[in-house]
Amino acid sequence: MTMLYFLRRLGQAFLVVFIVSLIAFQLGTLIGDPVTAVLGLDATSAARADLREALRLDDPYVVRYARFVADAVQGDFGMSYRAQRPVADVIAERIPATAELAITALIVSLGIGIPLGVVAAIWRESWWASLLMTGSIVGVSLPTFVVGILMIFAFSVTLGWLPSYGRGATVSVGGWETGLLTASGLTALIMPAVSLAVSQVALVARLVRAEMLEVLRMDFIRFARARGLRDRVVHFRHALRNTLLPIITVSGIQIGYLVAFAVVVEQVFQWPGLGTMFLSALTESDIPVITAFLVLIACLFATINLVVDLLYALADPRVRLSRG
Amino acid sequence: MTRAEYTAIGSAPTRLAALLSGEVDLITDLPLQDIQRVEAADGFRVVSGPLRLFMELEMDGTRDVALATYDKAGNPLDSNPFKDLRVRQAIALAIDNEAIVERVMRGQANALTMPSAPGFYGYPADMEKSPEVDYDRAKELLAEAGYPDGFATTLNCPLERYVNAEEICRASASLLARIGIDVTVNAMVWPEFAKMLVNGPDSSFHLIGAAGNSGDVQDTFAAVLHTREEDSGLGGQNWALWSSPEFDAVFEELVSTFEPEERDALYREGLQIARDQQHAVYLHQPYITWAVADRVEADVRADSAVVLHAVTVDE
Repeated sequence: MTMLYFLRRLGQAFLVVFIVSLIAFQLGTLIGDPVTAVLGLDATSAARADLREALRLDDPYVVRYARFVADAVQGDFGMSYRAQRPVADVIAERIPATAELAITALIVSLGIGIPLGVVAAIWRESWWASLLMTGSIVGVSLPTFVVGILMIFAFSVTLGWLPSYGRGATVSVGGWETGLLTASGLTALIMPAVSLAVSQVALVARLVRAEMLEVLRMDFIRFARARGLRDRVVHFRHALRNTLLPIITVSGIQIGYLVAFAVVVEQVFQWPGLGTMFLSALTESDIPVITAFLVLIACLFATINLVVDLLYALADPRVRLSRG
Repeated sequence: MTRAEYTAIGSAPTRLAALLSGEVDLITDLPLQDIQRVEAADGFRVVSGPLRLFMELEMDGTRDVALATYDKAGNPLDSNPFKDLRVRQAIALAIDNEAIVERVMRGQANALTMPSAPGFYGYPADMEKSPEVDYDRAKELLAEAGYPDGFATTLNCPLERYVNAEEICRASASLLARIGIDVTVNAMVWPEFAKMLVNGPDSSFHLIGAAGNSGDVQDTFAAVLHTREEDSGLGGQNWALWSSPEFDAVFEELVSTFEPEERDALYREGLQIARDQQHAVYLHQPYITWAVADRVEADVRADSAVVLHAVTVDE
């Protein structure tokens, strides 16, 4: 039964990646012309025809798609038209920047969002708790790039505390270029991570508050109070712990969103990650890079959803029994 | 000075912030709306110079039926109004390029009346005249050409490649509305626009920046104005599909002429033909705008490259 459930979820994940790869591959033929992207406007028609031949653009769609998939499963996404290097390399060197940004943003959003949600739940009658929750709506409503630009003008231009762009110095740890170990890398990370986290803080806070309120109404909390335990122990040892389980699941999904939203933040702060790579690939119609990025993001979401589904099934037998 | 670092900063507000916070000393492509801000800031200034490029509205000079062009009732036209010199002249008379320079380009451009501009080798500055705007005459010309009520057409417009390109298109559309030509602006990202050009071009009316390759007027003639020829590659960037045997003859003579004075005369002759035939509506030559910290001296090159021997920094 469990095996069947697992296989079904896996099959669905593959289906999603397959459909996205079809769309991504088709997109490549819609946004601009690869030959113009490489040669520019002033090439002769003979040079254009030669390049079409070399890129095998005139093969039937099915043949080109099959070739793309066959190469892709071996990690070969072709050559970037612009960089004239393998796409896999171009993407691989961008991953550390985006991963560090997304994970830092996640930690920031949890670090601020969970305490906010907890105090809002415990002191839910007070005026300042509702003020906090109202304020958090502002956080959700502000577009990420506006937050980013406001922060740049405050902390870079006016105060001169933080760098306005880039990632600072990086050091290589086992092939992973990290900015977390240098002072300039850390200061450069602050503003992008915070502006990426702002919209998520409100979501986390609201989720924690709702979960916490529910837990606080449960019988075991009443019994804990009846046993004469102090409020602090009841709130943080009993209630919070039971609140955190769903938060962990949501965090997993959030990582996916953070990587996707990072496109905007990376553009504002010129963060050298996947997002800036994707946007410049779009303006240069660097189609192999665009296709590979979209497929990669689809794989990421599919994997996260799969893991989350499986964790749910492990935690709650009803899920696998009813659906499997 | 032992080191210079080039950094790509794609977002314009971030680029400006990096300059104002002292992280970089020179930024390229300052948005026009930020010029005042930089000039007002202490320790920074704007340097600008003409770009070797001229903006023009190109009109279909070959097809018998113009693409995406309709009568006022919305039925496709069975003719190509742009092929009629009077229509081209009417459009040119309606487009107030000095107003576009003043409002849309905030003064950061030279209005032009021929397909060349200051900074091109062979550009005859004395041939420039002040642009003419005459809506009544434009309407008369349209009526003479058989379009007394005007017509409706589509202006294809690239985004982001040229300074304020979309705003130029919208301004042109509202100017043309005054003589009864309803223009729908079809804005598209550059890859899509470029694809449209090389496949055809699938456009009967579009905005583009033209130059030729080396900055010599002869190159503009060869690439932009000469009749398109597959074999020789001439007219490779003639997206207007304009063809004038008279002009082509001038070009043939130019390439086999080496005497500088004779060449000058041929440059002038070719430009005069293009202007008389109104091969396109010539708009303006945009300026390149950079912003620098006060300790930096930089010469803006007409090809917009930042070349270090043209940049000095006070320690």
